[in-house]
Amino acid sequence: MKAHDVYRVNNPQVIYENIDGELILVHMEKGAYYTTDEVGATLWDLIESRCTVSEMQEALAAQFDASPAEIEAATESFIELLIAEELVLREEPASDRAPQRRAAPPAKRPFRAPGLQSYRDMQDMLALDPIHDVEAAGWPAPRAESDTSVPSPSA
Amino acid sequence: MAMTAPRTTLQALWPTPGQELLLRAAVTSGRRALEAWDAWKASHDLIESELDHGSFRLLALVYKNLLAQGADEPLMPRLKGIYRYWWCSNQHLFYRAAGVIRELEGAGIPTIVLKGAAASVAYYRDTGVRPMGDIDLLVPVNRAAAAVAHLGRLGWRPARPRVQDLIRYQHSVRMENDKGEGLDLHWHVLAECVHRSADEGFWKRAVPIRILDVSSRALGPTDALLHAIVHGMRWNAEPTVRWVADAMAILRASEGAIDWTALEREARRQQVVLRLRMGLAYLRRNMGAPIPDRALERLRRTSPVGIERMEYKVLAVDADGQPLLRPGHVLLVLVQYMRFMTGKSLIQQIAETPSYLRYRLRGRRRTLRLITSLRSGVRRLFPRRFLPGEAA
Repeated sequence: MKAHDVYRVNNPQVIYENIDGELILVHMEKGAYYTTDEVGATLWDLIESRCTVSEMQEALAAQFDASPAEIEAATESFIELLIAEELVLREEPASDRAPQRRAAPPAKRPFRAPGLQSYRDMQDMLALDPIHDVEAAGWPAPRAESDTSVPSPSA
Repeated sequence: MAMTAPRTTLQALWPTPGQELLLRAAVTSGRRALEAWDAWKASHDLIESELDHGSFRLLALVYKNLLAQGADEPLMPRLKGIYRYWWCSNQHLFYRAAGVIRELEGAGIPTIVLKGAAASVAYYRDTGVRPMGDIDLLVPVNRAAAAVAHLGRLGWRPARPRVQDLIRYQHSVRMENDKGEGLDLHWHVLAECVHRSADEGFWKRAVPIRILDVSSRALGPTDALLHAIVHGMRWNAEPTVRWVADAMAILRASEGAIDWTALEREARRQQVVLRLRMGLAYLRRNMGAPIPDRALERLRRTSPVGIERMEYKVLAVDADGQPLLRPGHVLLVLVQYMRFMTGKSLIQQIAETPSYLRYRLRGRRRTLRLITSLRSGVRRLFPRRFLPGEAA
């Protein structure tokens, strides 16, 4: 992965939504569901804005309290996860592309390397009753004693 | 989910007290929403109570509204899960719809997206708050047969036989594919209005929308409001209380864009003034909807035609849950017949009656033989140009 690499969302197969700070994504062809946390959602926004890898790292450093090395490692491993799941694709940056600059927030937030939790069979997940077959954390986390055919998430 | 206990009167057209509290929690703002949610919780337990399907389908919208009102609610994670659930479920439908729309538009068959999918994109502006069971697409009535044929080449089959009859006498057909997926193909917006020019205004006033990466249309805000109310205000075994939420979303998103004069004019044209008037009055009285006095007053002064009054009496004919044939059913068939004949000349009405009865009574052999004889007689009496299939 190079500092000037740019990625794009694998549209239209990948659909996503930010719900109150949590990013959820579905890959329609694979029938898989993913969720990620605040740092992952921030990185996703940066990918969507066509930032280069180095611009993403600068933006994270401005928003989160972490060392450059931590941010670099977390960014690269998260993007590799997204590529492996075919959620994003690498693309050639346009030669006339303007550098992306973002205003820094007033205070830095705690940093945690982003993970990507995935559920491989969305049809099974949608067969759950989202009130009674799930943990208090809500769908798609299946209740421990619910149907064992429902796959557990993989991180 | 439990079904709502049957109610034996026209009350069954309206939300129950519990559904109304949930609706207020879903569509009102500030203290009104929070108080409604607290009142609902005082008599329901999200996990232990058996929720009717209509209430269950409001919970994703309740979640988003409570979040917007800053509610301090311990059930929020579970409600958020319900929102996630419907968001994911809906994306499958949007993805499927996008493929179908691309194909139809590519074949030169224009489309309007109706109901939940259109409301989600154009009015809620959120694809997770409005649960959908399937996708509803409208095509022009003169392209309906072509649309069915084109969809057939893509593996979609009508769920009912004799599509030509359906196109003539009904407003839509359910299409299904080998995966068991469904799609409602409409050629008329309102089930009540199935004459060939019924939808001309809807097409003219349609607005562009995008379903994922595909362009289509939605009903314009005034027509979408009419459709939400008229379609919602009929009894269904699965409570359709979401019409209230849909109408509120349209009103909120279209502030200033509702043409109240055009709404009244279209309601008169489609002969649905009574239901529109009652629906709007309910929305303003019970949900605080921003509906101007002059709009309600104008509708109050518009007298519904007789067919509407008859129809209103039988809108909830099945609400008592009894499978028996009752006088209400006969009246319902009569109303449907009268609606089908709306705008036709006397000669056309006489000429088309045997075919209509033949369609309605298909499967009832002895009655059919009588109708066939009647039809032969009519064919001898009237020139071909007046006969079904020839007349516009």
